[in-house]
Amino acid sequence: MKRIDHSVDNNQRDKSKKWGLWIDRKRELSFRFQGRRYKGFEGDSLASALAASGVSVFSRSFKYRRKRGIFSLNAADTNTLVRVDAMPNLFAERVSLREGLSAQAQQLLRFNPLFVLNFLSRFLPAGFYYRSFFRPRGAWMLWERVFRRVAGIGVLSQRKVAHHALPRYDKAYGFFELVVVGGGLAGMTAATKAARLGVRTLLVEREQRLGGDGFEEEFAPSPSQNTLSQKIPAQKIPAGLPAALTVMTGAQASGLFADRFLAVVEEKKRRLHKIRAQACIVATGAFELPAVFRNNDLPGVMLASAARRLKRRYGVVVGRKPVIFTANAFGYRLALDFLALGIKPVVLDPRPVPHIPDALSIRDHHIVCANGVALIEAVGKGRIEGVKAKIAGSEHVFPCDSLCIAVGFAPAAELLVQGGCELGYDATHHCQRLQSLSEGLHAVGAVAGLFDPAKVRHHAEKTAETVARALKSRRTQKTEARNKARNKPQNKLQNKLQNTLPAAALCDDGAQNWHDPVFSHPRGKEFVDLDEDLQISDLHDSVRDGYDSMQLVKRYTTLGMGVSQGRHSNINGLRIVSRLTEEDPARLGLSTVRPPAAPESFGMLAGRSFQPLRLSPMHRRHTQAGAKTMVAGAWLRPAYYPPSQQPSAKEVRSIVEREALAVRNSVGMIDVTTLGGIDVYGEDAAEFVDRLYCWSYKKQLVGRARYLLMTDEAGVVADDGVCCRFAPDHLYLTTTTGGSDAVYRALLFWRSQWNLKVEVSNSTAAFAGVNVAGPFAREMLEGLCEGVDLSREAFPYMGVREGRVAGCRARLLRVGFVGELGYEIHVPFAEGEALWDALMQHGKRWQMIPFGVEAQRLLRLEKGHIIIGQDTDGLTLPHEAEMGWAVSRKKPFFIGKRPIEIQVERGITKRLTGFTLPARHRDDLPKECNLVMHEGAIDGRVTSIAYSPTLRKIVGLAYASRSRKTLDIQLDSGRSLQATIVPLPFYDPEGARQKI
Amino acid sequence: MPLALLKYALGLGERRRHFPAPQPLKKRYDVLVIGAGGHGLACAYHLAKDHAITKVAVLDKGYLGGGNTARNTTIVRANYLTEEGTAFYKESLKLFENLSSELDINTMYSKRGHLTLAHTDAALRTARWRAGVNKHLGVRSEVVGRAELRKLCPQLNLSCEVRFPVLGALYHAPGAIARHDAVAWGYARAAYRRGVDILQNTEVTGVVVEKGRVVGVKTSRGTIAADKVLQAVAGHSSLLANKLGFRLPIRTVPLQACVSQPYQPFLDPIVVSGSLHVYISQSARGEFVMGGATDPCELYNTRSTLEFKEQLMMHILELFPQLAGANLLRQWAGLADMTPDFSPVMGKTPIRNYYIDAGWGTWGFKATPVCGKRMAECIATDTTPALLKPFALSRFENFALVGEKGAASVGH
Amino acid sequence: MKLMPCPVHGERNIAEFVCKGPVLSMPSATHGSPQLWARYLFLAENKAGIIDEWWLHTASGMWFVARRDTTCDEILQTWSIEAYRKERRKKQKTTAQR
Repeated sequence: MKRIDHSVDNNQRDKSKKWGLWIDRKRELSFRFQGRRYKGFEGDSLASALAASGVSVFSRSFKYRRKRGIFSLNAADTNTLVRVDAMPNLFAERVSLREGLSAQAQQLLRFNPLFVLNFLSRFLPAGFYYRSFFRPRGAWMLWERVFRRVAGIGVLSQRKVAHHALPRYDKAYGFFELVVVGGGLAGMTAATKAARLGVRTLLVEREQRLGGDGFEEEFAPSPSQNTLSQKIPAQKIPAGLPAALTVMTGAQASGLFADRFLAVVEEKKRRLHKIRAQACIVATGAFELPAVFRNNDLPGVMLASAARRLKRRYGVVVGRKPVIFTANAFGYRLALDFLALGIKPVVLDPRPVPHIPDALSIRDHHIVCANGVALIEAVGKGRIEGVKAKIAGSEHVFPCDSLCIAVGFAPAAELLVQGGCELGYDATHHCQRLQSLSEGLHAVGAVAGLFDPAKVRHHAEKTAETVARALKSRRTQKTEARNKARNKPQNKLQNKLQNTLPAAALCDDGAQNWHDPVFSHPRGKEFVDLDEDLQISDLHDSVRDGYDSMQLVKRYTTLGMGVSQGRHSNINGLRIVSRLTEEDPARLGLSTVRPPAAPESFGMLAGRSFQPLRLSPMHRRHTQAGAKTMVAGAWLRPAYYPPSQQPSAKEVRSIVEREALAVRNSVGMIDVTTLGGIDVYGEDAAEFVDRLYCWSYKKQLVGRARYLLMTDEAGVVADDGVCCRFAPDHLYLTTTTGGSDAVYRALLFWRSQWNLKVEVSNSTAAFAGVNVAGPFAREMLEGLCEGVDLSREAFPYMGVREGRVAGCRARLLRVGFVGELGYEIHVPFAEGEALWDALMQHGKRWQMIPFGVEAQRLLRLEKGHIIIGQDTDGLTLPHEAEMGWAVSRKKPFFIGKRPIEIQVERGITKRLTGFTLPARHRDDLPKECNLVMHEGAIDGRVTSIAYSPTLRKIVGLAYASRSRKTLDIQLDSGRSLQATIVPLPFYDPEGARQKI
Repeated sequence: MPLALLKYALGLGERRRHFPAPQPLKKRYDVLVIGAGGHGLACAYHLAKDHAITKVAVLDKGYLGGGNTARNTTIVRANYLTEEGTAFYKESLKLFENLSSELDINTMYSKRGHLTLAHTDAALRTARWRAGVNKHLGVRSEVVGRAELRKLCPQLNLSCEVRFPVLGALYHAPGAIARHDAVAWGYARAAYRRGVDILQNTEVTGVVVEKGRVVGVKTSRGTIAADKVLQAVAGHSSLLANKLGFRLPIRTVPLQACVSQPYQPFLDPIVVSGSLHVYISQSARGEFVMGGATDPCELYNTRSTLEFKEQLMMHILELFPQLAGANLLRQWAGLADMTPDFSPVMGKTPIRNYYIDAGWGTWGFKATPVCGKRMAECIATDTTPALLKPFALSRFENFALVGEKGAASVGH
Repeated sequence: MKLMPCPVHGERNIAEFVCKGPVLSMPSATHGSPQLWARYLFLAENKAGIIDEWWLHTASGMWFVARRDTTCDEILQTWSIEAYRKERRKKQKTTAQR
């Protein structure tokens, strides 16, 4: 094998230096590939820099591990997928060269043992893995390991990466009247024209520079023609551009979503743009199609557009003895390009008679040119060395070092199809074509089937004018609509943007598709899909086996399922299956186009993780006191206050018990800011609450609180809280921490359904709150309260008052969740910390300590109070949770009334039951959701359980059938414990302590 | 094993079509199955195999297996919350384990282990509940803590620096993935071999009912008479039912999914997070298959959205930050028939001899074998088997919902 | 990201909205039969076509009605509640007149 002489890098560059419009030969860069050092230039892509140094093998193919090199140079095949630094699966043609870049191939290049599979292809037909590898039972588990190793392309680093240390991607937003995707001739023409007509336009171009594949001309700055020069570096926005035009290069539109919402990936800046457009003009060009023949995957065989791009953009000459297989003008223009470099190509044309304009273009150059050519095979070992072809019945061999194919194009219409436009196969012109456009979407240039520059320019300008007109009239319509009265039905803006597809007849010969670029060979290896190593015989087998619709062919053979998603394989696949099934290709159809149109990294899509935390204003105090915090929905709450860091599980239990005992014996304080609060105002406030909750509230007295139980329309317990009446027309409702949003939404909904005089306000964020509970609570607070008489007579249990605590305006609620004398104090949010400080300071005399959520859960359990979502689930009815007492039987209406009745009539089988266990089990407690068994069947489950330091036994709640006397609880280990059923509450059954 | 390939290459293997070529419409069948997805084909197979009913045709408006069967993310498990659900899926798991041999096709059934991560106390409680019910029914399921998680899935990010750190998980060792297409093709071929007709590109436009009893169907190609008809058209169930005048407890919403480019083996188990509403597995090809919760609104359209993948990736990277550089290859959607109790609807309908298999939401693929077998039994005997009784359509009228919603979260 | 033409706030991203489901009439809470209630709660029409739905603009707390085609996700019209009620009354009048 010839060794590459690294001291002469860039030996494939054009020596005359006329070409390479994108590279800066004065700025040399060095980089590595497979450990070897190479040189390139600023402006190169990794692929072009490697090609310039004569590197022809970039990877090994998926199934047969054949050597692969540059083919489409357009991310339309996976031959050029490489690993760059730590990132796997990158297209080398999309990687901008930079100093010090280090790239590796993703398979073994020089010698690959799996290459032996090439000789076993007979045993590996399409879907071969379905026929075998599953006997004896379980064999697939072993074989799968082998397949996984072989199939995966890129390698992801297993090294642990901290989530917060990930390189950050940003999201940016844009709003434009018009977005033009693609900065080639068509896109630039349309964008500049629209902008000159006053439309706010964004032009998005994937490459670092504008100009696209500019096949036809060297763009020269020409203000009258509104074209731009390819020689202008991307960083400089050319002068003379209309002010209404914004240009974004190095940005690729990967998705077009509902209502013209575009995802544009700007990998270099690590940014995902989300852009709303009123209209879109898609000018994304076309994919060149390959020919299918034996060994068409040899390095050195490539599409003519790839060769052209290499030469024009990067000054790379792909070969000194090229053969061009072409059925259209593009191949002939490539021939002229070679001639301009002093190289004489061989031109092979499958068309039976010479095509006059094409033939004329090369007539005077005396090069070998043949018609009626059928390819037989490409030959070479690891690289192309010659082409065998049949001309007029006899075989010829053409030695070569490069084979360029130009047999037609398919529109790169992925974005348009995502947007609902339709593609179809035009049997007359043997090409895929856009058949319809959705509202607001337009297509110009090669994607619309136009290739002649004059036609492209004309159509692009006309389209821009149409769009500008429609947008202008929409602008006036919108202003008029705004000026009209509100509350009128919003009709769709009448002016549907018309779209103009060029007629099929317009599509010119320049891009002519050869109808049959498929040459099967008895020895096979004519690759239809290079990504998946699919040969013609694979498609044949598939059809023969009965998988004969395009979808079934795709799934059975994996045609088009590789990384390039059928860009180079779908059309030829369609043609072959059409021939095999004798079915019209237009009827066969193609598989659905799905986003993304370009690879999007997970990091790009994720962006910064925006999941805000809600903190109480006392949060600082909790962390200063060493609290262990826990997540409660969107909030953080203190779970308990450990004296030291990292207590053991046993220590945690005693901390929680200590806090609970403090509440029972002296006084404690808990931050309850997270609970929801909703103010209901109006004449019909009580009537409104009455309809929404299960109990009765119309006769609730001012200054009193009542328990609130909310069920959904199906009668299932949804939320609970207390209803406080501060005035005849003012009720204040509390909700659970996690339920405030849902409750508020429900209230708003039902308010909108009924004609009641009521206003609803979500005050959750307006208030901070604490609950001061314990026998000394009154004593402690008396000194800090103004305007409220805290005596038992003046402020009884379940009363509510307004006044001041520690100088803060406050609502005081005497409610009994934990079962002791207690006051819940709600103050304005901003005053929360001041309140906390004042109470903690004042409370020192009574050794008041803060207690956390864990202690609160224990205290309420001792009183048999339920926690929504823990002691109830997504199906619990009030009567099952022993909340039947909170369901009014007299009210004519409340949400859930009738379904509750219906289900109670049918019979409630399970009830929430209180149980106790002796203290000796406290070190091996059953856990919440351990099952309750009865005679070998599941009877229910434990919902809450804890050791009670006050009662010195274990207490808990469980669902079980009514008739039980004891509960048979099954622990994780499988062991059973028999618990005694007792009536609720466990502690202070008369409720005397909370009523003092 | 590869003996089959050797035979094939030497021309000794069978060369018959796996499915019938298009043929003229026959006038009548004993049983018509509307919908050639996994369920419909499995049922036809079992009708022929278990009950010797072979005058069966399976109809599909498109290509076989092209509905939700082609779009799901192929997770198979039996770790459900209710006894009815667990017993049902347990049988399915058993059938899956032998399916490749039974159908003579590699379904690529791979027991990877299934982890349902818990990020909150509530989720841990639910995990324990499920583990208890599963164990009681002989299904392997256990609650694992962070230390065991480290061993079961070393790539998982257990850091406490994320918004919702992982507290533990429900580990279901028999959890598996399979190749959905192979399952459908296997049933199709096996049914065809037993004499069942499969009519692709034949759309059912109406059902013919006389005196409360089904007598045939109208199709885009003509009318076919039948004694019994089964509808198994996930994503379109209500449309047929509405035509026949009875309602289903179904809201059809899109369920989106996506796949990455292929990478070398990285992730062995199937990882689901109920709190984050995401799930991920890595296929035999090395592609990461991912999805999340259903879309919020009723929609009979499989469009993809940007919000779906943004939200998904945000959470995937919290679980596997190493995937930041992986690339998304393709996103798609299926139509999920969601029911109020997250359980299917199987068995009889108000119309005599018209049977239904619907309401498969996000839990359909894993039920393919058991549903095929038991629905065949139901149709052949005109009696609902005990295993299917809890899933009868009539349960809603009786307010007897199955308890799966007891712990609602992402069910995959 | 779909756009929702809110009747008061104009076109906004769908992320600002929550859909409750189709507009339905609740059966009687005093004598609605179990069948009627089961139908209302569990058995949906689930139509593939044009339906009227309740939507909430979460940013402003405003509920309104949108008419949407569930086959293509096109939002045909939106009304504030008062406007929708007017529309319904008009429709009932015309059907009654026929």
